[in-house]
Amino acid sequence: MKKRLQTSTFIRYTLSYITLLAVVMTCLFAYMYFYVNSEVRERTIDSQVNRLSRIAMLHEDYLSTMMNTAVQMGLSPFIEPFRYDQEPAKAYDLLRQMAPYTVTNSFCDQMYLCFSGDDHVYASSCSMTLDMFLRMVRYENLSPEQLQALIRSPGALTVLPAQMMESSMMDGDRASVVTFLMPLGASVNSSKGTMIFIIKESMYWSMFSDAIEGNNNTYIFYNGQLLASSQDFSLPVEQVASLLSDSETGSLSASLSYGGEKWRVLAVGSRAWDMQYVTVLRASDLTSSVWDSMLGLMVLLGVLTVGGVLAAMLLARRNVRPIREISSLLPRNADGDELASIQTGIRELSARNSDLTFRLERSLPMQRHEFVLRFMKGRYATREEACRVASSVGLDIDKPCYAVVLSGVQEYHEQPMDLRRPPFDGVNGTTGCGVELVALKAHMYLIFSGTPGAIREMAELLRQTALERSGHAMVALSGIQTDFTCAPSAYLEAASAYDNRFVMDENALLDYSAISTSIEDILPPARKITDGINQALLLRNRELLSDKIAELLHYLKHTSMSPYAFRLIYNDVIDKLLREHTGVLAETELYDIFSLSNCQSADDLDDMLRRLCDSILTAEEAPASQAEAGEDSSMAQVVHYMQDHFTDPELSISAIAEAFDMPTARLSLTFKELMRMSPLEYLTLLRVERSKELLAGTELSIKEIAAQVGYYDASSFIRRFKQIAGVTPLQYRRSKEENDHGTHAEG
Amino acid sequence: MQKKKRWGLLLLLLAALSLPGCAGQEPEKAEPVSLTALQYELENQSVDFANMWFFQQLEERTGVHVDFEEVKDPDWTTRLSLMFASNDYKDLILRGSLDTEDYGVSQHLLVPLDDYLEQYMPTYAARLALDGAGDAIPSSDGHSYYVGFLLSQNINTDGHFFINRQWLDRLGLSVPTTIEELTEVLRAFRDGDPNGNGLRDEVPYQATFDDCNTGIYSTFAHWGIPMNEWYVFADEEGRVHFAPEEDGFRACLEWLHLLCEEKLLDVECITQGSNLWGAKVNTDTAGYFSYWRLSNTALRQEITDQFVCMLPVSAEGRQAQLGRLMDVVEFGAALTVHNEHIEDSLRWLDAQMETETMLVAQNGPVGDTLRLREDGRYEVVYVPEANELYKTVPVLCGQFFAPATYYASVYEPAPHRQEKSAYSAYYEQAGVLEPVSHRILTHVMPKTSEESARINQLYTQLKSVIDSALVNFMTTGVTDESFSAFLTTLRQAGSEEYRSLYQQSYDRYLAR
Repeated sequence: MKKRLQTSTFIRYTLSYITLLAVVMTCLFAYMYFYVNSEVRERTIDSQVNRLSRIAMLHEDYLSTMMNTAVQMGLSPFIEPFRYDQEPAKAYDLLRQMAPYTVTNSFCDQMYLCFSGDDHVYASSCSMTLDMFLRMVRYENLSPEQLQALIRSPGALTVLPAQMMESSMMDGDRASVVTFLMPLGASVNSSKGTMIFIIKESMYWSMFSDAIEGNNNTYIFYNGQLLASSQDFSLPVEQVASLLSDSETGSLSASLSYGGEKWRVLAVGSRAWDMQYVTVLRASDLTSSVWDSMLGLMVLLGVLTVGGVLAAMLLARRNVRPIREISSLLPRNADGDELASIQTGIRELSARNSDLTFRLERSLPMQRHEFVLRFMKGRYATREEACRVASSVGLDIDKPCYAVVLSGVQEYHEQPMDLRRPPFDGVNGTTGCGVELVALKAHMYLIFSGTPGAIREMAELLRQTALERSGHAMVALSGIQTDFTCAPSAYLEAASAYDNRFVMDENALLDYSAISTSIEDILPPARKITDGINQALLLRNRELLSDKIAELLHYLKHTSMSPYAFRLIYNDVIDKLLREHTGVLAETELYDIFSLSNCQSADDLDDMLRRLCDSILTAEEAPASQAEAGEDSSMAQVVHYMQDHFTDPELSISAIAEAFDMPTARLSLTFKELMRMSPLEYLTLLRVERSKELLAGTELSIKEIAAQVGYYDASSFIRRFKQIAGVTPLQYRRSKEENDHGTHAEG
Repeated sequence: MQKKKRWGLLLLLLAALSLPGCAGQEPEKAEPVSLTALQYELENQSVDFANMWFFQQLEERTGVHVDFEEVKDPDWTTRLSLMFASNDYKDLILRGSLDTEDYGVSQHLLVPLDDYLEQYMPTYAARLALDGAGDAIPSSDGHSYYVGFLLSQNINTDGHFFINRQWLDRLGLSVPTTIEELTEVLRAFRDGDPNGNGLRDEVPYQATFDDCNTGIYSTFAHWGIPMNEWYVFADEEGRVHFAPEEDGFRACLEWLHLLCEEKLLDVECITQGSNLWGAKVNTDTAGYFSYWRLSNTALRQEITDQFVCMLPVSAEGRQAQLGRLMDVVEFGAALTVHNEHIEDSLRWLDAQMETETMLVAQNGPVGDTLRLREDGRYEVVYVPEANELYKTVPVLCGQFFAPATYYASVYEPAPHRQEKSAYSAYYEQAGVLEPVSHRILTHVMPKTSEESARINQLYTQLKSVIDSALVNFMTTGVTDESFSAFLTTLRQAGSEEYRSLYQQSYDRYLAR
């Protein structure tokens, strides 16, 4: 069981949540307990103090009435001292006088009057001799003589605390009574006698009993002496009295320990009558009250706890599910602990990964790769250090010169070529190593050799190999370097040469040393050719025009120049043509300056120039009164003609126009009007659509397909294809293959 | 997330709702009806009505709680006046006496019960018709302002005379028959140390003052004056007499003075109540007194065993004549106009009228002091001594309404009541009772509210004059002047009008 508890993730989660829940509930319970505890105790004490105050007020009201009775009767002219044996008739009158006073003193059970010089005692209903009174009224703790002495000289106020009294006046009953003796008059000195008020203690008990009485002892102390009490539990009154004696004001709230129990003592003092009204509560009763009040809250907490436990289990189950799923993928731990299994599995995987990484890092190609990158970044301080590191990865670079070759790739996943293998191993005295430059979408080769020629030979081999592989080669060579610390410069040179793939015949080796010619050297010959084109336009000599355009293209392709120089030439040619033939061309896409961005190579420029020139010639040759009739059928024939001959690389707009004996411009305009596209766009579309069929249905190479659909070179085909299809032909073929595989797999 | 929030809110709400409810609350319970009552109490009794078994049982049965304020007999009238004057009314007034003409007819402070009795007091209402018992209850305005108290038990007089037979025997004397013989016997008691304690502590005649039970009012019977607390009586010719103005009244006063002078009568009788009187008689110092009966009273049995009942002695030329009691509906209970629970009050009163409950209230619990006989009547098994019964049941202070026919059919009287009946029969047989019960004048015959009010007014004045004079005559003696002055004062106080008002009403009563 213990093992189960330790290993079960669910139980572990559940226990965690329950522990958290227990902490929250405990805090909540503690807060509630402290709150309720203080509230209940405060409320109980307040209500008990209020109760004592009410008792004090009521009791002292009664005492005041008694005192007032004694004073009023003493001052009454109708109540004058006499001797019964001399004037018995006065006794009869006295009784009548006393009757109303008796009624108003309802707190008293008996009220007596005794004149100083008389030996009789009078009540409202009877009189008797003092001797008879002393015989009839017998106190438990007071002898008749003591009572007589008190009656004869009571002082300002004499209080006889509660004690048993036997009295025939109470129908022979015994009762516990409290007795007050007061002077008959305003003061002791002017007293005519003594008033005796006898109060049954049961009157006090009824005064003590009220709605909030509860379980308590209630006492009234007079001058520290117990006057009356009602007790629900046994507690020596001396204990309470000793506590009260410490209080100066008579009021207190204190704790008392007695008999192994704790008690709460509350007292309200009264200076007017030297009384203390006291109640004693059992501390455990207070605690019980607190728990009684807590009961409802505890039930609520219980319900919340049960709900919380269920929620914890649900939550734990939800959290454990993915752990189990992960755990099931990993070898089970011997003890079945899912978390431990995951931990062990991760550790194992991590170890394997570290090992693989280590092995990978330690592999020679990787080390070579690292070396090439570090070399290119110029991280080796000395030639010796670079040679030593290169030697450690199997490269002998201790050669007089070196260069960097950048070779563009069609696909990211293409690996650099291994220069130690054929055909590269045929170049003697060279050492080289290639790495991927993903960002540049190119491979970089670092080639060391004894002679610059061998390096160029190696670069040429790279170009040829690339061309063979993909029908397309973009290979740039840096300047030949000798100083190893100039490696970064070599890279920049190669990159610059690589940039020129846009403006040069990209399949030729882009040699950095060949593009160093300045723009000033390039522009004049270009303008010269442009002038020739303009002249051909003016002469409307299409052959000449074509030759001039071909001449310009040739010049561009075979002149090393930066992309900037290319763009400058391009702008210059277009600008000149447009200035010369403004007004001939209304709106053409060639006017859009942004179309410059579409011109990425010399072939693009060739295409654009030819189209522009055709447009200019067509516009200038087109007669205004061209018959509209028969145009549709002519265009249908053109469409059919194009569909039949589009694989012919020689098929151009001008060739078509020539075949149908109509001006090229008119052909283009009419064709576009009817077909919503130019004849060239239609031709491209036909070729691309056909090439798609060949790409998907044959294993012909890109180059072969390009030739079959009417392109002289693969790169033009690839570009056109990408313009129309959005992907390169190779990408298109692969996607078709994947689709086919998917379809077959599904099938 | 939303769900979680909802749960959280619900829990919070639950917690919030429970906090103020910490101190567990009990379901509401219908409050029992609580009434307040001014309860009459005999002077020599100290009864705890609030904790009395009988009333606790009654509360359980009716759901009506009553807070009693007990008022002893001597304070009763004053307390009643104070209550009505202070406007601090109790809901109920129980037993004692009540001037329903004044508080009901004139002041409208009592609830007229006529419309409620049949519905809420069916037991009592059914008994009112028996023996014409309820005839005297309606006041002059025709309304009934109180629930009657009627105990028909063949009693025809208040106090009987008892003499210490043991002392007589010790002194070799016989029971006196004349006032002179009585005087001599009393003197012998004073001087002969009949209690044998060697002290001259004997008080031959022990009495109280202004009542016809133990009071000296009974002494006027010796001179043929059937004195009663209202001072009026009627003769067979239909004339109403005012006792203090009758022949023989002065002679009685002179005799009383003589007794005081010679210490044959305890002079403290003018100020002592029945309680003290009982205490003194119980000291074995008394030889002669008048009293209700001997057994089951405040007197100890070893004392009462010494006494025998004697006929009232007659003064020379006079025929002794005591006041005659009759079954008169007394005051049982009334509802003040401040009572907001008339229905509950009447239900509570009627519950006491149920036969067994009523008999239990009078005699104690069935199976203890009371038992149900095979003939269907209840009888008293035993009577606890020293008024122990009052600790359990209210006895005479409870509600009781038993016309003679009904009472005889349900109850076999207790021995002590039979004793009283025997004395009554003895006196009846001896012809020492007034021929016409004064109770016809005071309780039975209807008076108008004006008459009633005036009578009460005059009565208060006259009683004060009479009692003061009695005290003076007894203590200082009677002279021609003083007695003449007394008579003058009586007339000035309206004695003639007082008598005439009774006469006037009585004439109407006789003429019915």
